[in-house]
Amino acid sequence: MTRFALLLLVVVAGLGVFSPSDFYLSFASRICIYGLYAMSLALLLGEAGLMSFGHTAFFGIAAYGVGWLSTAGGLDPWVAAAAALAIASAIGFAFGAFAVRVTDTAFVMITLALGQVAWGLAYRWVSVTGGDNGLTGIARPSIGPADLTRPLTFLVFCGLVLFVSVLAIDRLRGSALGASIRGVRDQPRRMSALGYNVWAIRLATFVCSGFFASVAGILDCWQQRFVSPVSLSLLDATLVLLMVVIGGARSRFGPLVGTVVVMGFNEFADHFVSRTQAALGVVLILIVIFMPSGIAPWLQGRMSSRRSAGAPKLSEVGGAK
Amino acid sequence: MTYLLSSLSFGGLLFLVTAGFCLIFGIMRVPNLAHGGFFMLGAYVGVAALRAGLPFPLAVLAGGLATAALGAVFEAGVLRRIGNNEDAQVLATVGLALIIGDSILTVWGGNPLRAPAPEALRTSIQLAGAFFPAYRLAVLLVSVLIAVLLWLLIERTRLGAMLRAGVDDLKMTRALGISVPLLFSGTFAFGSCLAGVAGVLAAPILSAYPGMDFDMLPLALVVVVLGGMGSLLGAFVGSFLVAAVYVVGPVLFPEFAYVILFLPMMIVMAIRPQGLFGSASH
Repeated sequence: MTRFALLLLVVVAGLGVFSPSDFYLSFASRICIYGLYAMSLALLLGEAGLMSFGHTAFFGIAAYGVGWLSTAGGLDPWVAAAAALAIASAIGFAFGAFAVRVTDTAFVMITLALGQVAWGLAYRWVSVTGGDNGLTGIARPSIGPADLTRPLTFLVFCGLVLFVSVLAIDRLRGSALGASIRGVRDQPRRMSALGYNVWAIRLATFVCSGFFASVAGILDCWQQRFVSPVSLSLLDATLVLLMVVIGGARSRFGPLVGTVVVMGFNEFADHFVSRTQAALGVVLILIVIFMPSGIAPWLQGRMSSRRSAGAPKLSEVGGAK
Repeated sequence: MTYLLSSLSFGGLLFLVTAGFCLIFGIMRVPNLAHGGFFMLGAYVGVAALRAGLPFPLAVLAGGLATAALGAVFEAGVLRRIGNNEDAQVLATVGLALIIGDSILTVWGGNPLRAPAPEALRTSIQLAGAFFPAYRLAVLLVSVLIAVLLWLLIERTRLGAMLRAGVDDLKMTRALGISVPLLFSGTFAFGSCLAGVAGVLAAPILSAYPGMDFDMLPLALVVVVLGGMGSLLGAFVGSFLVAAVYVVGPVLFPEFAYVILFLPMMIVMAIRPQGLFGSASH
């Protein structure tokens, strides 16, 4: 954890001193935001074993919520953010209550439906969401003397939020609840027989995961000062899943690694290949075939096998589902 | 009345798409999220064939064969290597969907391509005082015909018996000496072929445009969830139900079109997770 904090600090400070233009600062902020988004989804996919295609709903509801409340609603940005978080979490609770009754493919389908409903509302409910044009003119708030409209200050803010969230997610994973979440993932019947409420544990994970996605959504809204239905599309849902899976859904920092890879690819690959989406599809298929547990665990396995050059570790063997 | 017919013909198309999805899911347990991509590929291949001067039935054949070939290659080359990991299957099919979508954009560009309906069906037919485009009626008839053929194939032939055996108990089927890899490749190719055929048939109505894959896929998923995973009867009933909501909904509630489409599905999932016609055993 301290190493992660140091790395984050070095990257942010390095960018602050050496960044040739604001572009890299805002790119780094977006990595922080999407990194948090991916980690929230990894909580659901990696820890609870539930694959959601509707995670965009929370990201989007929070983003639209803070955008609408602070412009049309006339609220202070911080109050709007708190309200948006509360709304998104409440929806997460209500929806999760029946979504987590099913798992596997049925869960994929039902969350996909949720994501589509949210997208459909954003796209068609023009009087509130602005439809295709989205909501514009959203202001970034300020904290005392710190003015978040400056790219560097905003990056520091995003880095801080990411760090605190990672700390919280880490706590959750290490807690008794975290252990029971993994227990429910691997042995739902046994956990149920032991007296654990499988449904409640899954619901808790779903709500927590949605909460952190909402935080990311609010940051994204402030970052772009604009919300549009694009961030609710199925393609975006896929991209975030891709980040999680590429990095390794069950590894601690895998989703962050995946975010850097995917966003870097999206941002810079068009210099090398003309069709980034097709290339992304190819990467996705290759990863699924050759590194089913993700880049981060694969790298770790590589490094540790070079060190010990012996039998594969238990963690590696158990890594593939 | 016009709404009725357009929803019926759209329901027919939707059934062709979901029937393929259902077959694949029922037998292989693979939720094929590239199914919309196959539908779109069929539409584009069909348009290209029509523009090259081929008659309409041949264009349908071309679309079906192209998607069947791609499906077979993908099954043998990718899905077989992944094995039983459901998450990996979902992601691999998403990857394929991205590749298909982007390749089509590269080859055919971003503008919608209109396809002409066959010469003989460009008229309108008067029924009960209203005019209907003949082509839509034909699409409805063809899809009902295909539904009947599918039913005969599955219930009355040896191949159908193998498929049903695969749905019920894959291990037993394998033990009985049926080549499961062949069955899988065949199923995936056939399911993709149905999506491709639906794509060609849809081209004169919807025209071929980028993004039609992700327009169609959620609808197919709603049908599958409503009707029950892997149930063809469910797919048939669900298709016409969803098509009716899809066509009439936006007229009644323009701002909530998508919500009224997905709400019934969520309610069904909450009350009866296995779907209207699904069996609880899966």
